[in-house]
Amino acid sequence: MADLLTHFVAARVPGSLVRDRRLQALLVIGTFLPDITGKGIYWVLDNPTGSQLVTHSLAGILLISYLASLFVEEPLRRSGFLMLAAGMAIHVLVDMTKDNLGAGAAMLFLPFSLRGQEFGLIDPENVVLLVPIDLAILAVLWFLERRFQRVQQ
Amino acid sequence: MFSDRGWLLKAAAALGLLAVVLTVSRRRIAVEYPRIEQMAFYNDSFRDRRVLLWGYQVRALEAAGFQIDSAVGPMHVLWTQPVAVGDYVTVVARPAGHRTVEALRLQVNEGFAWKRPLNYLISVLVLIGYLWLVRRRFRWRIQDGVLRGKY
Repeated sequence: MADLLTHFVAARVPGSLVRDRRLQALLVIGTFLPDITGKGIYWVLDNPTGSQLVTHSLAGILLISYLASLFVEEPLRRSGFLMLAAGMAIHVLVDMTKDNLGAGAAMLFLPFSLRGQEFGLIDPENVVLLVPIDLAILAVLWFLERRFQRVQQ
Repeated sequence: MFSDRGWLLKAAAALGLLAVVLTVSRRRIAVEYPRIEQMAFYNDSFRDRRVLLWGYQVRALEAAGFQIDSAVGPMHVLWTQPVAVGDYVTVVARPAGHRTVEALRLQVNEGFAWKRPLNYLISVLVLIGYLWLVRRRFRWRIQDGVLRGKY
């Protein structure tokens, strides 16, 4: 798994275009969900085989974001579901940049296909070295958002 | 699908479907990608499978490869390229015999011992920090929905 700061930045950048701050929060929370639920199933249900892969598959994205959206109040639920699903999809895309030796960083079509997918761009353990870049992107984003808010006022 | 009507039924159905997806996937993955521990009871049905080893430490070098630890004792990995004792490696391998797999692709994970804990530390801090920052956007009466209508 890539660190959650990288996932956070990957979701927070497009999230800056979402005007409703509650939906923006759901987009970011969505990007945390694949790892949180994967680890939860792994540790709580003691299911070491494939739990992380299911939460990083299309079926997992749809089911987990739908389940999570049920806890959002009714008027916001549909858009909340879309935000959670988009956040989870962004997470999987970021994970797919990793080079897992061709075995696949994700199995998108579980449980129907075990074929792994990856872009193979970066050593999985080196993702954590992106932290300074993540922080720089966050700083630029914070600066731009503050400036945009001042212009609006 | 997104209304409050039949909320419990919808939640139960989604949870049930997730359980089915998990169970079916777990079974299929367990067959296609046996765990290294299963090589202690090697049989021919493993022959065309793949064993994925992530973040294993090289314990000893051998003439035809190296040795790693598993929950059921040491396992042998056949590999011709140089690795050093103490290296962390990620390996895609195929079963080759009793307690033995043959590495098809191997990656030495330099700095694994500090990069992995750092990854988890950053992740926990980001999760707690973000939830703390956005806590006012949520209400804690689940029956009313978790998000505040106005904030």
